[in-house]
Amino acid sequence: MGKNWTDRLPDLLQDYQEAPPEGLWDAVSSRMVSRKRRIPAAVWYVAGGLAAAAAAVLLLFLRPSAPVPSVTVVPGDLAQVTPGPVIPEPVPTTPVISGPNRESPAPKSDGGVPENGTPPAKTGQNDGDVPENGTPPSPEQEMADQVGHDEASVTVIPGSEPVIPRTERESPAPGLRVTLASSGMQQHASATTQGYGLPSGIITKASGEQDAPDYRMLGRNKPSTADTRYSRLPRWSLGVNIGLPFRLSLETGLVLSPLRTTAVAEVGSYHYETRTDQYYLGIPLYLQYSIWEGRRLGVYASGGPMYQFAVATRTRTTTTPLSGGNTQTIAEDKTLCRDALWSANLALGLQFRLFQHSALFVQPGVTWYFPGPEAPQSLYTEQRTAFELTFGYRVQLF
Amino acid sequence: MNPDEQELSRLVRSKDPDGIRCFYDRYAGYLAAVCSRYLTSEADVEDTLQESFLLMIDHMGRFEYRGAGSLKAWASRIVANQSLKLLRKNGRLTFLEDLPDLEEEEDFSLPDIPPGVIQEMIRSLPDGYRTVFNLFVFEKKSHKEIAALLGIKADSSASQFFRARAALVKKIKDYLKEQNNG
Repeated sequence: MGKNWTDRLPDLLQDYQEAPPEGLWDAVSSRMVSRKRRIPAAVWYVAGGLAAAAAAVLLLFLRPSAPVPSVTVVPGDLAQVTPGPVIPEPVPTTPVISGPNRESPAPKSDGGVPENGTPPAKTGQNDGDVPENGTPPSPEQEMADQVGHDEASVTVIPGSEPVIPRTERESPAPGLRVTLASSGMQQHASATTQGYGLPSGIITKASGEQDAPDYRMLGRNKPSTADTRYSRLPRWSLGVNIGLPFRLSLETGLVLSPLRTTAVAEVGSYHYETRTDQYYLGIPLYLQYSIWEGRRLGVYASGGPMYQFAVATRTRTTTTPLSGGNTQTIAEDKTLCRDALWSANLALGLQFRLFQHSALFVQPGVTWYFPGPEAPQSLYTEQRTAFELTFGYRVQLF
Repeated sequence: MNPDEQELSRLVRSKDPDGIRCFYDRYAGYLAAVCSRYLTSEADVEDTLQESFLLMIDHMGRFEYRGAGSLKAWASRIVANQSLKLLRKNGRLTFLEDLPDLEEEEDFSLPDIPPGVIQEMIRSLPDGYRTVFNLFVFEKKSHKEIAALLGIKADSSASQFFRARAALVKKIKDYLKEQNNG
């Protein structure tokens, strides 16, 4: 047998039983039955999140097509184009490009009648030109005028060949943006349990403390009512947004999410309150799609996963004698409660460009949390779907 | 009501009250023994069993039946994990290294000893010895896995296990001596 005598122990003890602790079944069954959640609030959050997601999907499919720039060519003479990312092609006639920040070439004083007799196109109203002959601008020119200064547009005179391809703005323009944001919405769930003895959510001894009084023994087998509340404090994030083609961009960065669990119980002669703050650091990877972008306002959809892991834990229990007396702290603990989880987020954002290279944004959305099977009880395990409102500031670097 | 493990897991998964009660009655005694092998405080055993049963009931959907005994083994693992979690949280995992090595006889064989006595001998081991011993012998974990779980080196795990085994041998011999004298 020798050193392998320990191999017999599992067989020896496989049917060995001990009496379960007194009151265990009552405690288990009462916690199962008495669990209460804020179902009405959760329903609203889920409904709000689904509505935001549905709106994002609808907008993606039903968005109006971008205004189509048109090309104006005056064969043999002038074409007037407001600036934009234009890729010129060889043309039989030579276009002249003008815009709000450039001087328009003066029309030829001889009237500039092109070879085929078609009168020259009018410039946009932004340069103050008055058509020489007083003719009101053509519909195409009016459309070109209505296009923003930063849009490329070239008006086509019917019958002429469009020689400059249509320009399409792909926004957001490729580049790098830094984002600072905060999610101010606090979600919370709560549970009320009834049982015996001190609930496990109440810590009474910090790690490493060996000689502290055992409050658990004081409260053993005494009926207890515990209220536990789970919430998330304002979340902060710093992100980098990388612009891609086709109206897409990728955002990543760091997100700090503090979770708070407060457990309050009255057991025996004492009132206990434990507050646990668990800090998670998250790394998101969100894909954003610009649905619509105007001169100042923009609407976009965003979605993607985030990986979060716990980086700090702080727990503190205070107790107050029910007969009256001072509240005292009986346990403080900073042992990290290790945890990591994935989440998925879907949001719709509204952006307001304050200055040329920066914008404020507000972004309602919904997040689904996927905690592991052994995750500590927190908002992430008690309310796995959350509606969030994020607001922040983006600065374009280049 | 006497369903087999597969049926019992289905009943618990569907939150059938009778099924849950049957599950508790069938395994509470065994799981209490598993838990008390890790935790010496009665209050800790009670808390851990409470949490473990709630976890098992809530997550029965994750259990996959793999033959007779698989549900018992799954439940036992959950209790062991929860016990370990509490030990880590309370900072009770101290690993004694500054003790002289105990010599173990090469040809020691386990005599017939009541399971309850063996259980008490295991419980009387220091926390670190006991935890490593339980994980190695009953959870069949390697020293490398134990080291990762407890945040120690694999060599330390092996050393703790060797010391635990030697201490148990001494306890068994002392017990037999008492029995013979008595």
